[in-house]
Amino acid sequence: MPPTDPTDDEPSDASLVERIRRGSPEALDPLYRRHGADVYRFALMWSGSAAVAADVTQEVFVHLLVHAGDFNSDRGRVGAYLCGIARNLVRRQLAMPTHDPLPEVDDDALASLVRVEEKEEPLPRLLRKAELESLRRAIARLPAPYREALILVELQGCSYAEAAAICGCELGTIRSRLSRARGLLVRLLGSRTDADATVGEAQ
Amino acid sequence: MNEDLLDRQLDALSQELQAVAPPESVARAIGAAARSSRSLSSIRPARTNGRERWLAWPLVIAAAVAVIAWTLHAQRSEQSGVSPEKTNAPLATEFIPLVPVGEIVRDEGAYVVSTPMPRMMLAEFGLPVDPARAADSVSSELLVRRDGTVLAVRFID
Repeated sequence: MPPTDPTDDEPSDASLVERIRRGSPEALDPLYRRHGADVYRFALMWSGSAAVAADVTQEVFVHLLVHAGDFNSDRGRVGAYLCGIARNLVRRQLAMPTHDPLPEVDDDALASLVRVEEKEEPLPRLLRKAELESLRRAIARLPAPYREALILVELQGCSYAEAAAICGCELGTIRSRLSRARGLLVRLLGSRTDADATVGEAQ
Repeated sequence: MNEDLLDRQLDALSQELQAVAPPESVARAIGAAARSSRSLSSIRPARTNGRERWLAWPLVIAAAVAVIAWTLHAQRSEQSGVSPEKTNAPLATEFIPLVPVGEIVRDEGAYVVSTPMPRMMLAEFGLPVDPARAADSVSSELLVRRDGTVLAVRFID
């Protein structure tokens, strides 16, 4: 989640939150335009369900509308704060214990994640789509703490410090989780490649 | 699979992810919640003591929840049931693999063949079929290996 710096003409995220806190809910709209997609994408990858991601995104911004006073700019950026709320809401929606495996993946909803440019040749496109689908499924199989670290750092572009703030853990813990997540992904994707090869040879 | 390949695939997935946006209904629900919050704020007396202000928040929350619940209900109502317009809508699928992907990866060349197929074939792939047009044909493209094996199919209507 690279910082989305407003231009000189636009108010900062923190000032928009402050306006909401003072009773100007119209300030929610520019905040949603800046951060809504990031929150949705994080919730989508984290939950594996477009329906949950949509619900959570709505709840995050309504939460901000009501509890804008809870935001403290000294603790981090608004984007990270919103993703932290999204993380907790997804956990609650899925009633997911910390180390449980991911729930079933919403295949239809996530199909959009592997949309590939039409200009590619059919065969490379098919293979690339299959690769990304395998990767997405492997990420979905990671234990929750590893998965969230990977999504935040590798897919959302968060810094280690931001990811640590969102997950409520030490920076070293994020590094460790990310390393383990990558190791598990290499193993999961490697074993899948082997399994495909075995199927191909058997035929 | 090694770390370099993993990095490349993660980069590709991250780029794909950038194209994903929340549905419009989310923006509408949030806008409605903000508007209901604003309208409740506007009818609040200009001068309130701390207790009155504290009492107003449950109203704001209840209104926001009601608006979101209504929006979600409307959204789910729209999603339930397949309308005739939906089954008649133009159709273009991605290529759907018909053989194990590992087998395709090892293949080096393939070509595309266009051919009509019975429309009922769509149902075999879980795609919607308008019963009124079930006897018609639908255009399709087959991805065919040099030895004639059909690797994948996509439908274009």
